[in-house]
Amino acid sequence: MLELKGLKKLFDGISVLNGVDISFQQGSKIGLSGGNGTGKSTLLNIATGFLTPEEGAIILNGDNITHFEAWKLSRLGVKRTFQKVRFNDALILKEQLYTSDKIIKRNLHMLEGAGIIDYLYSFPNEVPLPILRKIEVIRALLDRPKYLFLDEPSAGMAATDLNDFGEFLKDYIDMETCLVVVEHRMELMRKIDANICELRDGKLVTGNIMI
Amino acid sequence: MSLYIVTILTNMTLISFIAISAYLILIVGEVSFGQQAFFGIGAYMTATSTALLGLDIVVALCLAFIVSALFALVLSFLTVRLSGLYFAVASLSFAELLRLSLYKVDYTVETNSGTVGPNGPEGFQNIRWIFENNISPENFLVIALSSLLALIISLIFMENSKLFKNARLVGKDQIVAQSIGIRPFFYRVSFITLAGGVAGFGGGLFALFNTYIEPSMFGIMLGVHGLAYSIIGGLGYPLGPLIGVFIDIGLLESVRFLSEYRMILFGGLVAAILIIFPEGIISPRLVSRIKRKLVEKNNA
Amino acid sequence: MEYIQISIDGILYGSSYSLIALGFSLVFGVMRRINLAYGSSLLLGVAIALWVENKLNISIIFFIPIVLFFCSLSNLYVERFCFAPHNTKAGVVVSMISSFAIWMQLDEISAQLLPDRTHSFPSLEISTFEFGGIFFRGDQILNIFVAFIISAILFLVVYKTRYGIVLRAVSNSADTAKLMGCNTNLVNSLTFIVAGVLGGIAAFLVLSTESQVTPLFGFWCTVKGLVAMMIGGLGSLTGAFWGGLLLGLLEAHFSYQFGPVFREITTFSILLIVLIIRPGGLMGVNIYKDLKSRDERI
Repeated sequence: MLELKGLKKLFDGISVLNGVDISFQQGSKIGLSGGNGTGKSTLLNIATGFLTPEEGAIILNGDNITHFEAWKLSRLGVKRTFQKVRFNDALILKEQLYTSDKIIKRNLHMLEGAGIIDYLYSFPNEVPLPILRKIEVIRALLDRPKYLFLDEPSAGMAATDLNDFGEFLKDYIDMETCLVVVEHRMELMRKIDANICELRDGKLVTGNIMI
Repeated sequence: MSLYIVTILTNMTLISFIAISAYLILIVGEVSFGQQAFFGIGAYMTATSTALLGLDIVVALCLAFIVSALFALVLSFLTVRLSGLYFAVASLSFAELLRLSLYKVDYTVETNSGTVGPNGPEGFQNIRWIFENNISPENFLVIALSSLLALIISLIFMENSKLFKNARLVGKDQIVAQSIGIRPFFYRVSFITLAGGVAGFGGGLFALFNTYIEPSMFGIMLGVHGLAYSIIGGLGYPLGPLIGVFIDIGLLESVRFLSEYRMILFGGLVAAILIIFPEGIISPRLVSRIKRKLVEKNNA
Repeated sequence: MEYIQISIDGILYGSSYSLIALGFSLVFGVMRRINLAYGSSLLLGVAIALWVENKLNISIIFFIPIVLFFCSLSNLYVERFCFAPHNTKAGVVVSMISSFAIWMQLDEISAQLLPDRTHSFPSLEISTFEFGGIFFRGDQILNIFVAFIISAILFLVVYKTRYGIVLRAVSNSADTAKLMGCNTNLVNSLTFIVAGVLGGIAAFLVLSTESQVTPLFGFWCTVKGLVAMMIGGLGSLTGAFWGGLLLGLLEAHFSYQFGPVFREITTFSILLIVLIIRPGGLMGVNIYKDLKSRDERI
């Protein structure tokens, strides 16, 4: 279980998170919503080790990992994707899964099911955005993550693409993984039956969420 | 082969070591203006171990590699928080500091072939290894060229290894690297160290070839050239740096009527090449395209 | 007394560094780029001006504008050739390397124009005076005064004029400034021309206190200016001014204590220490943090 306790974060003196408590159970699906600038991405960055909180603790299965760097968290199974897809323009996408051919072969059904197999030998600028987002998720999934954080996967996607992306998540995220979707559009969260929490004024609000 | 051609080829081989060491650092995403100092440390180390201590050349060159790698390791730890412009300037000042301290190294011994040993600004004279072992310039070229080839072939083989792929990812995007569990620190430190060692090894060969070294030889212009070679050659493939070396020394210096204006032409040429190929001639994208073509051909 | 004399000499000598550092700082402040060819483009400007002076035999009053003109011209050449083509984010490092390569070219052209190792330079012939047992070099007093005036004028231009607003807009975010209708290309070129004029003034004053030019002047300018700027604070005009004086002060004391090689050793040790402990320099921490957080934004 990954727990965030009493997180506080300031940017230039402005409080973004003000005492957030949340815990992520393996096998659960959580949707984190909230308006612009409410600290959704900050929360995700803290949970994955890309930012350190001013106060509070991150606890993974009872161990305090608050000051672990991002690469260490990633090795412990806390993975993420990015709001703006990050690929190297100079490499074909197969190389950017950063894994061996053996693992790619073993997971061929997943690549096929996601419909990305035809794109493996393309450069990122030759591929539409929804496919790139799927490849980012698959890059994380090939490592069998225990916690997977998606940062605004719907940004720049049309409704049909989003539907397809939701199906893909439902099909390939297994019960070993806790999926956390940070998002301000509700369609995707409903599609994957996520428990929705909302960030408001630096605090977490659960239940009674206006949609 | 005339002596002139042999000398030019040897010089090309020796400076290729600096170019490759600059290339190794560029892979992890940093620009070093300081590889000339590691070249110098290697040169002094080899001179000391052959001329003063009478060690075997293989031992001497290994020592040159190790000692300059250790200095580079120090640099990588000092600059652990710096990147981009800051790392470049820090590496420059580190290199100049090392070079300037060579002016203060003074330890000479009188032998029957003259004064031997580092003597401050006078430099290290009488490195007589090639005379004592009767190495002709052609033979020395063979030694230098075969070590360079061994280095390049091993780099080509390592190109597809996990180590190099991860290092390239660290150089391109540290955030993605971290998100898939790669520790940037490790790759940075090991590549900067390795690059220092490679430069030091080349410096060792240079000291043996030149038979005389002094601190002013390892100034910033040497580093500029090495860096420029690897930049215009491109980061896609280990042969890139050699293209830069070839353009500068092979083309400009060996053509007699150009050699007087070599610096003027080469400086402009580097800037012009960077406008046309901002990532160098053999860019990573070009290499990926060629690889893809080859795969398509195999499948067809 | 000796101690005070060395300090005064050091600070006065440091005024040359301040003058050079101001030009560096201006370019970094606006474009977030480092122009490593700055020193050599000044050397080239001076070399062409001397060559013209030799041919036409003109008086010092006309010589100064010629120096300024050729310094800004060679600076503009560097901007067009090394900086304008690389105006993307990936171009920061490429343009630095490109300017590094042009450094060799400009140095070599200057060496061809000034074939002797040392070449005399018109001196302003201001005498040294004594005050309370301490000697002051008049021309160096002039340098420090000019450095102060220039940094004050630059400060006023950057913070009080319309051009300054455009400068700061481009410096803050070139893309946004472009969208708001600023001609960023023109601003960059203008910045280099202004830096060239400043550098021309600096080069003239420094060289006339030395009353000679050597081919090493380009390297000297780049290194000392860069170090003074980085100590004082990246892109900070006041930082460049104080950084130069501080560098001069420290160099004077260390070279007096340990010998002339330590002048250079001090320069690079200070630079390395500042970079390691406080990468933004003594007065440019905000700029450094701002750039760093921009780079690390996910």
